[in-house]
Amino acid sequence: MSAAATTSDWVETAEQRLLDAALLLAPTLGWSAETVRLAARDAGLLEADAELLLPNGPRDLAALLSRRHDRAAMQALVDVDPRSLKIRERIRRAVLARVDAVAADEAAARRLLGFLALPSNLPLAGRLLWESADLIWRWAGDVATDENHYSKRAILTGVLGPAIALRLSSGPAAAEQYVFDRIDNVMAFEKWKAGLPKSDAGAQIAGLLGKLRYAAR
Amino acid sequence: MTESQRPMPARPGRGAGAARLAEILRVDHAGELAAVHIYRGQQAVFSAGGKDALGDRFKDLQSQEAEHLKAFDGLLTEHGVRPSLLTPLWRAAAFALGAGTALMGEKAAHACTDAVEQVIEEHYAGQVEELGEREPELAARLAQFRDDELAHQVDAVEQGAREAAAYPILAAVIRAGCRVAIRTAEKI
Repeated sequence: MSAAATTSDWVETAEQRLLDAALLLAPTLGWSAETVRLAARDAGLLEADAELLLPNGPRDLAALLSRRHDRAAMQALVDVDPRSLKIRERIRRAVLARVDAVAADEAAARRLLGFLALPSNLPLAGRLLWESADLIWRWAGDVATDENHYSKRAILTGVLGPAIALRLSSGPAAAEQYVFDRIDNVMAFEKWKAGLPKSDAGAQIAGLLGKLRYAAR
Repeated sequence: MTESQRPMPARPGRGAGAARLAEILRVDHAGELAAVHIYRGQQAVFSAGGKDALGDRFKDLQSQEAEHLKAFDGLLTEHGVRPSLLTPLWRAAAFALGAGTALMGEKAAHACTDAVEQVIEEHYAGQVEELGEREPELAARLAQFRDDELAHQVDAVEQGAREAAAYPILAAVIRAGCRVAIRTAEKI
């Protein structure tokens, strides 16, 4: 094994050990620099190593947890063939799998929600949700390579965030109903959009000018 | 000391190679998208103006660029790379450039092809060199695209691109625009 591979293996396992230790502390201590310090101690890591692994402290822990939940959601979907489902069912299944992944660490996740809601952490929360939404769309077979790439993820980010908050505050039934209703809203909007008359104004104008420029001769 | 005050050395880290590859695929995708729409604009003007031979010529070029675009559509999806956020802007600007040069005249339209393909060809050449060792397969594909673009440019020159009115100015403006677009599309 090369030296680089060994180093990156060490980083991965040490990160996960830190996260495991932090998950035990977070329900009482929240997500703070203190949690990082104690988690490093519990995981048997030097404080300097922990600083190297988590230069942004609890924010990096939050990112690690979010990605662990992403992986857990994908793992839960491993037996589902997205192509056998309608698109709305794909998204519903994947969103609920992601929500369930969070719920598996409920107590720590509730404190994480508070931490990510701090104004200075909102950009991070947005990025992490976007990453999750990206993963869900790619699982669902999205291959859009234009602005739809962004609108799809933006809409899903807007559904996923509240769904997770609802799951932690009001339970699974409320979250499921919420996801179901929002997908209905999106579908209604898409149906309306598909009904709009299609026009290619650019080509029409260019054609008209082309006629004026060349056909008169 | 709060988190943000702590000095943090820049660390290229494990993701640097992948991030650069993402930039390369993103800008190439945007470039081919723009190429398709430049030719679409030119074709729209010439076909409507009764210049069927020219219309067909640009339609043919458009379909060749569409092949390249399809390849990058696949590569973006395969590597999980986001497209350029400014996709609608590239589409509109490219169409306007195509239609605008076609309205200026036949030779101006060829001059546009000449200038654009020249920049793209240089751009691909740089990427082929950069990727040669790390991603030989992708580099080979880009080299093939580069040859296609080069052929388009040679063709345009033969059609009288350089006899267009104010060719040096026109070409310089188009080339500068392309270079700015390339820098922007890599990042955004």
